[in-house]
Order: sequence, then structure tokens, then C-alpha cells
Amino acid sequence: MSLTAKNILNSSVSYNNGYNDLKFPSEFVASARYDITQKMGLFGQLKTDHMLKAVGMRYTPFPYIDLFIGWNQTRIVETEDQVSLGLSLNLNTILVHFSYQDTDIVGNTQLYGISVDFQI
Amino acid sequence: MSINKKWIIAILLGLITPKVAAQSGTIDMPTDFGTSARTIALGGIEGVYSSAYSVFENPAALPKDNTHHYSIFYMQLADKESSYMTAAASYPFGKGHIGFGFTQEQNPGIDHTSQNSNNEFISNGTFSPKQSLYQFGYQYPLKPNLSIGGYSPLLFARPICHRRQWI
Repeated sequence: MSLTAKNILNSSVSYNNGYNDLKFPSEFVASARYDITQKMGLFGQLKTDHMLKAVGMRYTPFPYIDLFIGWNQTRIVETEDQVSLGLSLNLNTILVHFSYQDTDIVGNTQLYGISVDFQI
Repeated sequence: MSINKKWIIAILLGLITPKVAAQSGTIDMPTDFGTSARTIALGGIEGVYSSAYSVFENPAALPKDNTHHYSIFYMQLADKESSYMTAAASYPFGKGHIGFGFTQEQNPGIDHTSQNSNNEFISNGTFSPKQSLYQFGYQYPLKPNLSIGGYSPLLFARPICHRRQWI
């Protein structure tokens, strides 16, 4: 059994005018968000770690439902493409998110995720 | 200088110190596959939403209201061979907001292999690598639409061997 501990600092700055949220940690990351309408938004990101580039789209058919679709290209072993789908339910102070991702990392595999956000 | 400003400067200095001490290169973090289902659904794009998960992604984007925010996340990967669990919380603290996060990655029952005299790969046990990441972050608003933030992760990686006999 071995035990290792590492401390790393990532600092960042956020400027948000309602449409864009940029961050510049010690690894270079640039994110952008553009809301076309209240129902639809586009997202993009470039990261230096694993050479990630990603684009995503949000669609809100009803105020309490968000649908997401995303694509990214990453390089862990070799260059891999990943496609994601997601659904969010907005229940006032509780948000429930589901995600599915098809990835080429470690062979053909799938990723399933569930998140719950709430505020008090 | 007020006491509040001294506390804020002390916290920011504390966040900078581990970088000087560690100077680590790129390492695989348990958050590499994503920190929330929403982040993954957008292809891994981080930092464009404000939630308690921002402590992992962009601490400057931590929620700015006066309520407490909590988030939990669970995912399975590679035909359920790997599992990830994440929990995060953020609270108002002074003029800014403070955030805490914990994430853990587990890969139980992975074969430990070696080559025998005939150059055949054989299993001589299994191990269960586990990574735990603790994260602390702080956000300080400079203007109503401009904030700065920093975070300091603490990562523990532990392979656990279950068996040590030749099979």
C-alpha cells in the first residue's frame, strides 16, 4: 500500500456579463458561452491538459427541462472523440441532471452519471 | 487594514503556498472525466454555470447569493468497472464565498499481472486503486460582474492489494 499527496494550485478569474464566463487557471483553459435565445445556448472550451476541445448546446423546451448535447476531443492514450447527451430537471431549489457519454477511452465504453444540486 | 481584509489576504496566500511547495506536473485527477452530470452532458465543458461544483472547475464562479449550495454526483464508467462520487458545498463567507469539495474514484478488482518463464501473462492477484481528492476554494467579488477565485486540491492515491498468491 502506498500513499501519496500532492498540492496544486489553480487560480482563476471569472468575468460574467450574463453570456460569457472565462477562466484562466495555471493550465490554460478558455470557456465561452453564448445564449442565442432564452431557450438555446452554445458553449465552447479549449484546455491544454489532454488537449481537450469541446462544444456543447443547451435547449430548453420547457422552463423546467434542459436538454444537452456535447462533443469533445481529448488525448489520453490517443486522440479520442466523445459524444454526450444530458437532461436536467429544474424543480425550484432542486436540480437533477442525468448524463450519458459514449467514449473511445479504454475501448468502447459508456459513462452514466447523475447529479443533484440543491440550495438552502 | 480591516480584520476581514487580513483574513482574505491570509487565505489567498495559503492557496498560493502549495504551488510553490509542490510544482507538480500533469497528473491524472479523479475529476478528469467530469465533475457533474451537466458538465459531462455538455462534452466536458466546465465553468459556465454557477453551482457548488465550481469549487472544482472555476472557484470564481461559485454562487454569489446568500444561500447555501450543495451538490452530489455519481457516475459509472467502463461497463461499471469504475465509479466516481463527488460532493460539494458553498457558503457565503465575509464578502465572498467559500467552497469545499470531495471526490473519489474507485476501480475494484483489477488484475495484477506478470510474465512467467514462458513469457505468458499470468494474474498474481488483484488490486483496487482508489483516488480521493479534497478541494478548498474561495471566491472574492471585485465588482458585481467580476470575481476572482482560487482553489487548492489535496489528492490521495492508494492502490490496495487483495491477494498475493500465484493463480
